[in-house]
This record gives sequence, C-alpha cells and structure tokens, in this order.
Amino acid sequence: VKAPGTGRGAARASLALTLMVGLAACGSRKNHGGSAGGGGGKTVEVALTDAGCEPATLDLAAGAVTFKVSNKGTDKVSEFEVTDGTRILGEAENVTAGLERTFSLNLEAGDYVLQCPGGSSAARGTMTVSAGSAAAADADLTAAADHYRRYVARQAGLLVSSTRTFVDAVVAGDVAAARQAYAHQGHGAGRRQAARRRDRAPAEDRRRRRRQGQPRRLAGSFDAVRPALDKRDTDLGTEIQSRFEAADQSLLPYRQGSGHIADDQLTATDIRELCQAIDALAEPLSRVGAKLVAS
Amino acid sequence: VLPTFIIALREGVEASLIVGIIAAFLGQQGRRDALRWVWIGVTLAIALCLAVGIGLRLVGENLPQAQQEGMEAIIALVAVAMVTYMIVWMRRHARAIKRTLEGEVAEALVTGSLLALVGMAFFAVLREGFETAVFLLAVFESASDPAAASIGAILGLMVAAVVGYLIYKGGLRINLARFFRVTGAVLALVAAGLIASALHAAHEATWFNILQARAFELSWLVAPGSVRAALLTGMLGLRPEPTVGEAIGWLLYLVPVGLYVLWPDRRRAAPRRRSTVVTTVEGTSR
Repeated sequence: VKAPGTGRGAARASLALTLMVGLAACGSRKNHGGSAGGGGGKTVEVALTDAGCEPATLDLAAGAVTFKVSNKGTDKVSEFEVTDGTRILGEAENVTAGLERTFSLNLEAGDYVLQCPGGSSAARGTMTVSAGSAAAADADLTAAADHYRRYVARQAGLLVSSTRTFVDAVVAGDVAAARQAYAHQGHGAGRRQAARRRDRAPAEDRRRRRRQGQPRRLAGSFDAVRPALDKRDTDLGTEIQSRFEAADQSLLPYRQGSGHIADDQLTATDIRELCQAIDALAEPLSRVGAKLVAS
Repeated sequence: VLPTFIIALREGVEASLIVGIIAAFLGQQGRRDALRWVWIGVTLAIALCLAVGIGLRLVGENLPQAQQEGMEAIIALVAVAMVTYMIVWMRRHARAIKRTLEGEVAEALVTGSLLALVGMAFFAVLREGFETAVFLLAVFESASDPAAASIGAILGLMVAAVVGYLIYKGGLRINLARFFRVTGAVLALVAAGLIASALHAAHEATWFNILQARAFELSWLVAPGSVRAALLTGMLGLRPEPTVGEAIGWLLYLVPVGLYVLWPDRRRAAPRRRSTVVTTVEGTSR
C-alpha cells in the first residue's frame, strides 16, 4: 500500500532496483553456469517406480539440465521420456532395477510432458520450465547489464562533478550559486542521493525531483533489458511499454522549452494524475526482475 | 520373470527374426553357401556393437539416443523393403517352385540381391545391437542384483537366438509352394510390424511427430514386462499403446500387401480352376 507521494520516487527507484538486482543476479549466474555447455548444468534425479515417474511434477529453471534416471526396483517401468507434448526431446530406455541412465537437455521455458510408460498412477507427469538462467538468453542479459553498468557509471560521474560544484558553492557561502548548482545536479540516482544528503523536507525533496529530473523518454533504460525480457514474457514487455508511453503522455502538458515547468506550479490534481501514471508503470516494472531471475 | 530377460529377449528377437527369415529364404533358394556370409555379417555386427558399447562406457558417454533411434527407423524401413521383396518373389515363383523338385533352385537369385540379403542380416543385428550392448554392459556393472540380472539378460539373448534358429529351421521345412499364402501372410504381418516399429523409432528420433495420440489399448495382449509382450513386440511390432500414426502405417502396409498375398491367382486359376484344385490336392497328399 503505497502513499501517492512515494509513488513517483518508487517508480524510478524500482526501475533502477529491479534492473540492478535482476541483472546483477543474472550476471553472477552466468559466471557460475559458464561451463554449462555440454551435459553440465543442473542435475535432476528421477526415480522409476511402480507408479511411474517419481517425482511426477518437476519445476526447473531454463538451461542445461541433466536427468539422472534410476530404477529403484520396479519391474513395470523401464523408460523415462521428456516430451514437449508431441516431440520426444530426451529419453532413457531399458532402465531396469538398479540401473541408472543419464541424458542432458538444454531446456527452454515452457510446459513439458514426462512419460514413464507402464506406470500406474504416474505414467505421465508434467514439467514446468521457467525462464531464468537460460544459457541462451545470457547474451541479451549481458548486453542489458553492460548497458546499465554504463548508465550507472555515467550518472555517478555526473553526480560527482555536480556535487563538487554544489559543495564548492556551499563552502564559499554562496547560497544562490549553491541553489543553482543543486538545481542542475545530475539526473536519477545522483539527484536523489544528493537530495537526501541535503536532508530536505520530504515534500520539497519530491518536488525538486520532479522538476529537475524527468528524463526525456522514460523508457530509456528499459529498452536495454527488453530483448531479454521478451524471450521470457512478451506480454509483460508490451504492457510496460504502453505504461511508459502513458506516463510520457501524462507529462506532455507540463512541457516547457527543453524541460518541464517548475513543480510549484502544479495543482494537487496534476500531482495525483502524474502519480497514477507512474504507479501504473511501477507495478509491471516491479515484476521484471523476478522474470529475469526466476528459477 | 526377470526384467532384464524380457528386454534382452525383445531386443534379441527383433534382430534374430530378420536374420532367421533371411537364412530360411536363402536356404529355400538352395543358397546355403551364402549362409556363411550371413553368419560372418552377424558376427561382425555383434563385435561392432560390443566394441561401441565398451568404447562408450570407457569414455563415459551415452549412446546418442535420437541418432540411435533414427538408425533403427531407417534399418527397419529397409527391412520392410526386403521382406516385401521376398513376398513378391515368392508370389511370383510359387508356381515355379511348385513344379520343380524340392530343393531345386527355381530361379537363381541375382548376386546383387544376395549381397543385399547378407547386408540386411548385418544391419538387422546392428539395429538392436548398440542398444543391447549398452544395456548389457550396464547390467553387468550396476544392476541391483548383477548376477541375476546378467543371467537374465544373457538367457534372454540366448532364447532370442533360439527363436531365430527355429524360424530358420521352420522356414526351411516349410513347403513354400504349399504354404506360400501362410508364409506370405506371416511375412506381411512381420513387415507391417516393422513399419510400426520404424514409425515408433522415428518418433523417438524426433522425425515423426504427428498422429501421436493413443489409438487403442493393447496392454491386455502386450502386457508390459511379460514374455508374450517381448515376443509380440519383437516379432510383430505390437506395442501396449499404439499411436494413431503407427496404427495407420500398419494398416496401410498390411491391407494391400495382405490382399496381394491372399488374392486368388486369377490369371491362371480362372481358366483352369478345377485343375488348380487337383494340383493342390495332389500337393497335399504328397
């Protein structure tokens, strides 16, 4: 339950956070799973029993998976198959009591059918593979992470230089110059941190943020992660895209020159409308990280 | 019965059936000299399969399952062509065989088809051999009761070899002229079963993915894990749960070829129906 006032900040923050957390997690996962080419990756143990497949429901992350199929002593079932409903993707045959066979698959996200012919209650099973550490999507994630890393570095650079100007002005006791420097401080995270550092009243803090900082196109950073997201969930990407456009639209009336009008000219209604657009964007955005690292 | 026995029996029979049919056919044609080449081909295939099985085990690799199934599908289809050729050959020469003395060559087999038959025996063993070799080695090493499981597997292969030998001996003893229709019908069933097996293997090789719904339930007849199932699957390609595609393929082969085998020999029978009956009666009384 978000107060309307925190919504705007939360939108930007959650975008930054989801991307950061998501991509950082993806990045590290890639490093760990780097050798997951042939037969590596995760190992899933499946036992053949009189009932059939044990377990009969599997939830896995996309990527390289090795199935270790063992027969714990049933005479009725000796085969395990992974199919996508029509096509057999991998199988272990003739696994009689005490035997163990392995096979490896590179699984993409989706629903699969497991088959253990001859079993009683679990002759068929289901396997749900969720997107996540998919080796195939690593390239997209790496690109998005690189893009975001450059973005953060750029913002950090701006923050350092503009903060220096501001601090110099404060030290010199030049209040007017300090105000101006603060107003011109960098965008995004830098501006917020500076604002916090100045220990302003929250309301003023928020107002400043809006006045100085709306990027020309809100969706800028999202574009970088879009290809990786589309591989997992195209609907979510489309939804976020349209919310971004709606948020951009809601800002149009306040355009002035190359920027926007000062926020002390906004009415309470204006602010509420802007908040609603940003909140509507924040919600689907908050799901991006989970999608990218889901396992 | 031990499951390893069942599996070894099924895989073994799938190979020995084809070899037995080829050997019997060659024997019928009086080409026992060619039998030696059949045995050499079979021995080579067994050696090759064991070598591959041991090799894979040594380097810790799995048999590439999809490729293996693809090979099974192709060899099964070639076997269908061969059995069909035999059916046609017998049908064409049934009358000639009838007229000549027993054991005499009705018409010399072309060298080409002789080679093809020998090659077929080799490939028939190869078709099931890789999988069986891998299975055997796994059983020797790591079954929960290795001794019993190994004995079961070896017994299964021995019984399969005996089945092949019986087919050969029985095939030799059959009076082709007299029992042509029966022999032809059995061969048509075998070939139709090979079609179903080929389609099944093709599905496992991911080549054939349509019509995979279960056509009907045969597990009352082909109860999984039973000796009967091993023999029915191995010889006639029957499975507990045939798919629609397999059933269609089976029928598409069996109906026309079955009709071809069973259709009365109108061309000659029509004008001399009575004499045909007489010949048959004479044949029976001989």
